[in-house]
Amino acid sequence: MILQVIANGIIAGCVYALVALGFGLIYKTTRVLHFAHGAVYTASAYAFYSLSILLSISTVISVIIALSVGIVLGIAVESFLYYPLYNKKVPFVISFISSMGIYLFLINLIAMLFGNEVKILQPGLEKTYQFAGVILTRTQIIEVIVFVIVFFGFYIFMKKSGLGRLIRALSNNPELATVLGMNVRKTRILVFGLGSLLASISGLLVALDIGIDPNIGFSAIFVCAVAVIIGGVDLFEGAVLGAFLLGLIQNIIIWKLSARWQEAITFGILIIFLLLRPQGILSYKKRMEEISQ
Amino acid sequence: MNNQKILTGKNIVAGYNKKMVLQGVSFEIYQRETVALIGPNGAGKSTLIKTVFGILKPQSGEIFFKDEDITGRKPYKNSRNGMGYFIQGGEIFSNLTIMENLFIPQYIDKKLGIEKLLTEIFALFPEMKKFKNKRAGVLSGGERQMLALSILLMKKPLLLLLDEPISKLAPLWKDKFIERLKELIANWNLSVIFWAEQDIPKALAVADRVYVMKLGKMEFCGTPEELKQSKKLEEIYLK
Repeated sequence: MILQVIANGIIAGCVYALVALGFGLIYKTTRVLHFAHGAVYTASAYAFYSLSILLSISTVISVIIALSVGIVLGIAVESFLYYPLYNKKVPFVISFISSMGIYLFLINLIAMLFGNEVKILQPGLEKTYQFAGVILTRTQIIEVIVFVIVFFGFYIFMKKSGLGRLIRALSNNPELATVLGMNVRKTRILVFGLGSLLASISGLLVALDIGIDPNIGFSAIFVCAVAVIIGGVDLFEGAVLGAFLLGLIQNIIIWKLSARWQEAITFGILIIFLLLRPQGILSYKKRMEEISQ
Repeated sequence: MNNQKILTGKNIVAGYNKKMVLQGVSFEIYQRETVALIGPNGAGKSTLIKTVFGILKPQSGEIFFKDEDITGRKPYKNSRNGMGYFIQGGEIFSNLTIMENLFIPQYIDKKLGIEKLLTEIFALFPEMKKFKNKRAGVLSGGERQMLALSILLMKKPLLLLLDEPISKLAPLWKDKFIERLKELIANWNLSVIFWAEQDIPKALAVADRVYVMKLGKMEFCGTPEELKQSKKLEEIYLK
């Protein structure tokens, strides 16, 4: 049983990690607490549902269009909301509240169009596979494979490509990046596109696994925000570590207590971290000069 | 030294919000010239450099760079046009490796040819080569300043605007930094304008000409020898 719980935790972690990577990337680079990330996640899941189930379009094309919907939505929120606010140099709290507002607007729009009830994308029992006493469904295996591919792709992009290095430079020191002639606007669009792609991939996986309702984005974004904080904001690997930790803990809670306790304990963990290790699990060893900045 | 102007400011009035720090400042910098900008605290030296680079918009006045009117032009455009601005304190990308730091200008502007430049930079700053795969955040204060300058040099700038590059450094590093700066000025085809506060003697030792500012106005312009003879420094700093 413990193995099954760990497996479930890891699978939940894979899905959270993708959302958290995008959320953390956007937060670190633009200092926007991008709540509407949850709406991007939900919207692409609904786009996939509409195309694949309602319109019976082939899966591959549905996936491509649904992911594009997520990317376009993320970039649109950046272009019409965050960037104008950034140019006016408004306080952090204003972009945060506008992000909440956009999230609520989009979620209500989705509820109006599709209704509030849960939609199942794969009715009936799924094919399952058994490894060493652990039972996994086909979708769960896909989740793990997709996560591994996407994470390594993302990792290599951020560490080795010029664009990835520019994104890291912007997140590290926006002032110097501008002084060196970086076009901040373009880089921000790239960041929002990339982050939204990650959220959309996760949205599709969850839709296939457990179905969709308009509020799936809400708990996802909360868990991911916590994952980014406890994992460590310095390195993007931190978000992934945080996501796996939360996935595991949540599944242990479901096993030992009940699912009702999930959120209370997630936030309990957040509070413990904020009190004891506010920089998160992973962080660079810093010189005193760096900390004071 | 040829007599072509590279940077000209005419009657610049600029500042923060409604408080105008610069009250009609004019100056001229020629090609391949090193100019020190000195003056007491609050004179407006930093404000002037920020205005030239485009971080602050002047309320009135004109700025010309390479005979182009660049008044009010955005910093990233000025940067791509050949200006290098050394931020006060020496900013670097502390989470990136030193090599990545040096490559950022190349990623921003693909036209820059980097290989030859890198060799030149490593010749000028051997410590950068030694630590090239280390995270830049681990560098000491002096090495940080060297890296900050190296990043700017990777853009192959025509004009360097240095905002207090040495005043916070330990004495040993100050001498090192000045020494490299001299080497740079001798071997690279660039103009340098920089200001020093606590270190007027060091600045004067490098500069071809000096501008002295006080309360938002230019009070003196001339060679370091002329400045020493004029007793202007005592007058400005003591009054």
